[in-house]
Amino acid sequence: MKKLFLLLTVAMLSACTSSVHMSQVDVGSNSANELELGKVIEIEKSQKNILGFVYDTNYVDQAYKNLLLDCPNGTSMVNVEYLTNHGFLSWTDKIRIKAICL
Amino acid sequence: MLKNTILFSLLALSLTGCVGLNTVSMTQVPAQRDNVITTTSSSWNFIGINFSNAFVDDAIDKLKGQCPTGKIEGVYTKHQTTGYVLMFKREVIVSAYCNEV
Amino acid sequence: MPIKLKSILGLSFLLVGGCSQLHHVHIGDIDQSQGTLTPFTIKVNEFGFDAAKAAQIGAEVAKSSSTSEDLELVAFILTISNFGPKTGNPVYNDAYADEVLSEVIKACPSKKLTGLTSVREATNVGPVSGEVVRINGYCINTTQTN
Repeated sequence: MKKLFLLLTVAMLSACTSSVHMSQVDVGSNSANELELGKVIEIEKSQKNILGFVYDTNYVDQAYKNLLLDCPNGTSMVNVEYLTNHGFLSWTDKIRIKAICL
Repeated sequence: MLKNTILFSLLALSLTGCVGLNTVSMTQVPAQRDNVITTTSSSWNFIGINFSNAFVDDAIDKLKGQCPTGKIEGVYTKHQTTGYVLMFKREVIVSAYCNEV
Repeated sequence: MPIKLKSILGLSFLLVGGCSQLHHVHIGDIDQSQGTLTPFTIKVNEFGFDAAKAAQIGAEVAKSSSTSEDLELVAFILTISNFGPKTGNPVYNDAYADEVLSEVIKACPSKKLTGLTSVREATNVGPVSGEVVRINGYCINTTQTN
């Protein structure tokens, strides 16, 4: 019974943790109208990683390219979050970008 | 002993070239994006022992050099580390726009 | 190592670990030319828990060897099940910092912001921690602009 409880606890605590490495907010030259009227866009790109065997970080570049496409007139505020979802002998790295387009 | 050494060497070799992302940062994207400037700067170390982070300053100098009279905007920076057998390459990859004021 | 000594060591690690840790900081442009500045702070945090480390500490201080072995096995299973790079202790909600941008926008009635500093930090007590994303900044008071 004790072992079963332990096993259930382990199962519950397994493979659902995350780690937020950084979250950065940056604001440009100020204009109240830009923040008020601008459209907030959200971009998320990820990369599956098994035991560290990845050879590029192109998913980050892809997220940045999407930001450039979504905001042709530039941005007034941007938030970049880099996090990892942990898993069984593998993990998923994610980039989340939120921005206010001009 | 020999078997272990061979196994360890094979494992180390198989991880050669694997990249880990440290941080990403970006500043406001400008509307004017005609003149893209990019630069990379790196530093090698043995088993992660470093004595200086001056390679980051090199990247800034190189970027400024490509835009001597303009305004550098939309700075997108990636800091990543590539692992080789007992050696690591720390790298800063920067892309930005050079706009004349 | 005698069990009592192990317990003391374990407890000391817990106490020593009760400190603040800085993981990442980013400082933005500060514009003092448009008016006086009023500081604001946005802080979001999440409960961080390193289950594998907790099981490992449990194994170290366990009285019976069978419990110690069981807990070591639990620590191993948790370690391989939650693989990947970690900044601070792992959390069970990856969206806790999602509202940071909207909170920052709401912070200033004038909607004019400057000097944003983004900090990723944590307060640790052994395997338990508060994982924090903090944004400090200034609202520009436009009414006082010359």
